[in-house]
Amino acid sequence: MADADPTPAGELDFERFVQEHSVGLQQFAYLVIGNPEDARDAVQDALLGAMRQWHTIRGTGNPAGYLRRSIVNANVSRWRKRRREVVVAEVRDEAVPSDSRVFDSMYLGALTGRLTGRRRAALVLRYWEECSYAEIGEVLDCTEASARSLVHRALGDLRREAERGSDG
Amino acid sequence: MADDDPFTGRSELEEALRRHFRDEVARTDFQPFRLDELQQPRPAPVRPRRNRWLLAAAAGVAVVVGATQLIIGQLTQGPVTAIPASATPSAGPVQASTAPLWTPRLPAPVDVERYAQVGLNGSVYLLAGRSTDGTCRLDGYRYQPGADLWQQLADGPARGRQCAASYAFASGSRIYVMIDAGAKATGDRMELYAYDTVDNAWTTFHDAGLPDDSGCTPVGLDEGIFCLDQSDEASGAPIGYHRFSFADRRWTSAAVQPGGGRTRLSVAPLRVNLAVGERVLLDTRLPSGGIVLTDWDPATGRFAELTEHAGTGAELGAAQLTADGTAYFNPPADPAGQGIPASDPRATTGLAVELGQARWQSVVVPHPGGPLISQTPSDAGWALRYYGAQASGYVNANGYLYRPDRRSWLAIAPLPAPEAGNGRVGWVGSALQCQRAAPRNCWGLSARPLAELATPLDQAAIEASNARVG
Repeated sequence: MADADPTPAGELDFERFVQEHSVGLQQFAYLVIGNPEDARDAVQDALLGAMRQWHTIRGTGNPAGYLRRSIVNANVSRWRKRRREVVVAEVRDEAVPSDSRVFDSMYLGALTGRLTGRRRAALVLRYWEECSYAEIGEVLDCTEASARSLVHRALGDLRREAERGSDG
Repeated sequence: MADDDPFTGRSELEEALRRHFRDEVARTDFQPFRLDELQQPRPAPVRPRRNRWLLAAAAGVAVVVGATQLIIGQLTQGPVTAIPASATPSAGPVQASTAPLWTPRLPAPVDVERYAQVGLNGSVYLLAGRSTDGTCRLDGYRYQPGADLWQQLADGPARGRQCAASYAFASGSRIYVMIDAGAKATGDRMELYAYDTVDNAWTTFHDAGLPDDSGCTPVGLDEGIFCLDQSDEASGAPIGYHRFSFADRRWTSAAVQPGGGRTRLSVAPLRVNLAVGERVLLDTRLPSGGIVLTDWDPATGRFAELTEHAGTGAELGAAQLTADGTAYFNPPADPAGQGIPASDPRATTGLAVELGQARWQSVVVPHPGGPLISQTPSDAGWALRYYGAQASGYVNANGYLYRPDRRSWLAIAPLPAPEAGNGRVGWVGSALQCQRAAPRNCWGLSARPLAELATPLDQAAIEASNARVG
């Protein structure tokens, strides 16, 4: 562990970070990945890696952003491995009124599930984490302009899908 | 949000997204990690049979290792038992040996899930790893099952830049690795490297971006790479695809409209060898459950619809391909999740098609978890598509192997149960992950030859068993 901060202060600092942020990171991972067990695994992975390099990561001034990036990267990797995914909505027992489909959480879940990992992550960062485009760019390793484009394209995808659904 | 936004930030859709994310999180019950907990093995999760997203069976890369099948999975500490003779419904081969069916081999030196995985010429290659901080390394390892030996490969060009993923495939004696190096202002950056297994040397093959940042699903071919865009899948609109030619060393892009404009649920590309040559097969699913198969000819760059089927009324699994050009589709892994009771024929009926002849057949599948193989639950993850040279014409279905050209089934001895406290079992080339909390690598297991592990089944036994389970 070349970069770990072996001092008790460093360990306490990491422990405090885990205590304060691990739930929020799991929630973020769940919204990006879609499965609570996978989300928990992804965060555990990311925290284990961060623990070994805590001194450096802490020095970035944004360790939570660093960890979100790890989670997103791991999910994109998972997406590419599982390219056989068929993304469908869970079946509901009751019919959904067509004029309220855009606002229905289950329907939005199906629509966001069809987005690529990066676009879904961009939406989560924007509308759950309330990140600025600069902050989104830091997490997704892209420019602020690309981050803005990702969010806007994702919203466009959702709007087009919602329109198709109401036409059908 | 501090910055200026051309969108109001408060549109109905954006507010709905906020509510949706809040609703989703409200359904969870995450707890903070403790430091001591981070490094301890986690108990094997009880996986709900309904996930937020239904997953089709993985179409991963097979690992051909001669007459025996290599599976890198969990090491068992308990005795491994063979299938009791009383559970065998038909007169299959008698297992004369009492030696364990599965034996542990050397563990992998690295966390296999962080590497691209390829089987080639009887060896297993792990290539292009990713560090826990997300930076890419061009390194690798080779496992030779016969010698039970792991060797470190020569290092490739230095990188250290963050990357998202790698995808690898074999062509001839080379293994090509595509690395998603993250988005830039002009689009995703996809880097391509080649590892020569004869020279033990890397080549930087190409370093250029794809024209769109949506990402694409790659398929490796002898002449290059076909990459199908992920965006606009669930619609009837044209889908972009990209082609990289090894000869020209450049990407070109175009669009295709599988299904002829009908609304699609999904499209997935596969590599297939037909009598007329190597093709890319597009497996398109319609909302009705119908299947449309289209092939793309690398020589001409043209698409042609091969065949289609109305389906069984259930959402079938991903296509699995045999070496002789048959595509097989499993019945749903979770019929209950589709509202299909176990007693419904759709729960145990799959489809197979000889692609060259466009000849379809329905296939009754042994019920997962049924008395034929009581120790193999349907979610054990039998992602093996080939079982060594002996079983190249077989596809797997929920713990059984099926040979479409003979309509014959084999029941396979189950894998040992994972160690208590460890995670899921995985193996090279599948979508499952091999997880142990510390160290994070996989133990290797190998099996005896297929004839000793497999029990032939007949149709009457399958139907009788399904009737008992249903």
